[in-house]
Amino acid sequence: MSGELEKARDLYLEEAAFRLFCKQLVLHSQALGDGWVWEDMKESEDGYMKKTLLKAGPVSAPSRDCGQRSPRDEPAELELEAQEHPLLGQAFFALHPCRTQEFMSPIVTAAKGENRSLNYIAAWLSVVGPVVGLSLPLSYATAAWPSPAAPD
Amino acid sequence: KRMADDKDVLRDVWYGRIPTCFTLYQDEITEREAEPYYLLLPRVSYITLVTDKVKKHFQKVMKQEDMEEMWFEYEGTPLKWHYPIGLLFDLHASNVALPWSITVHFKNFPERDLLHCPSNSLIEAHFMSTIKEADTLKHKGQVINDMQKKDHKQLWMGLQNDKFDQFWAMNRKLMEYPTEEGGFRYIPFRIYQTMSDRPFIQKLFRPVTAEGQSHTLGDLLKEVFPAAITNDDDQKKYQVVIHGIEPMLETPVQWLSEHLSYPDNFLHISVIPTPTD
Repeated sequence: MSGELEKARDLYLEEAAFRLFCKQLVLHSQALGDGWVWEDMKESEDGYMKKTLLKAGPVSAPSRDCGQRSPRDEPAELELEAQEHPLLGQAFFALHPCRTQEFMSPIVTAAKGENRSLNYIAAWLSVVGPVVGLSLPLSYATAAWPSPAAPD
Repeated sequence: KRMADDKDVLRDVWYGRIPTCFTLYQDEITEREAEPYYLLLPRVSYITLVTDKVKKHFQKVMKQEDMEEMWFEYEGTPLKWHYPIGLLFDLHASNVALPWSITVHFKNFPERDLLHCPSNSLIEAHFMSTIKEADTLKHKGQVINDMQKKDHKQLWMGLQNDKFDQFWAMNRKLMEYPTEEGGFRYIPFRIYQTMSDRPFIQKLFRPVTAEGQSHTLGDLLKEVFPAAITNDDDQKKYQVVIHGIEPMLETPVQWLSEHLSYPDNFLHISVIPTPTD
């Protein structure tokens, strides 16, 4: 049980760590020139990471489904949901976060086991990005990421 | 562990109603004159969830082909269905005479301002994802993630069918916290104002200080929206409204979070200009 709790705690991303991972990712992207930037909101400390990709074709937003699943439930799918952007106020498609722990847990655990540095945001993006055509080059996985200070 | 025990407040919040008059937009094409339609809207619900009767009412005087997706507007502002009704009223119509007069449209959906709402399952999805975000702030998501799918369904069905006891039998679990911590990890809140490009302000805010003192509504505003607080000698510029009332600034945010949160577990706080007349 305590092992389970420990795991959940590791997967909870604090704001400071989130910002640091994003900053590192943008720096790496700048070196690579593949288009990730950080946008600051005016008159505020808030901001968001952005990459623009134009693609022709239809967009669909299937319904989602969450809650604890038994092993017999259908396999994990990433689902899109139309939402209001919390900073920009315009409609955008959000990836439903319900299954995040399921696919991030093995990645975080493996990196820990191999004593490898991991950028949580890069790892997350590498899983969900391809759903909307945003693939990360392999160098994001092999780069050395200084780990953030432990949260409070 | 302790939980919310002030059941009267919870009931008063749950059963809050806004008398509303729905009028068809003047340019909609009808076969005969459309009478206005009156409804008591539940504050804690969503406008597209409780307006089937409004649609049926106007269907009687309109041709099917003239009816696209129904949407609502108040004095030129399209009303976002994904905000709870009480928030829409507090934010846009706080100091006007009742009934609240809403205009109904079936054409020219304002794509830039509103999300489409083709079915109730979309409202459910939005509700569940907001409640999940709230629990991520309150308990690192551990309470909502430990629930079964049928427990999530109970929260939603309780709201959809206006069943206070059904909803709160489950929601009380989301309101628990370890006594020694004195509150949730962070308070899920959003502050709205009409004169802003941003839809709302949302930040991490703890219910207690490092020294164990309760943070108040005043502390919260001082930190994230200082302009909303009036200095002693100044004229009051803003009203800070939740569920149609102005809570005292001395109220602990933890108490507010337990008692005045919407069913989505967020405190939706409106900051509106003080009426001048």
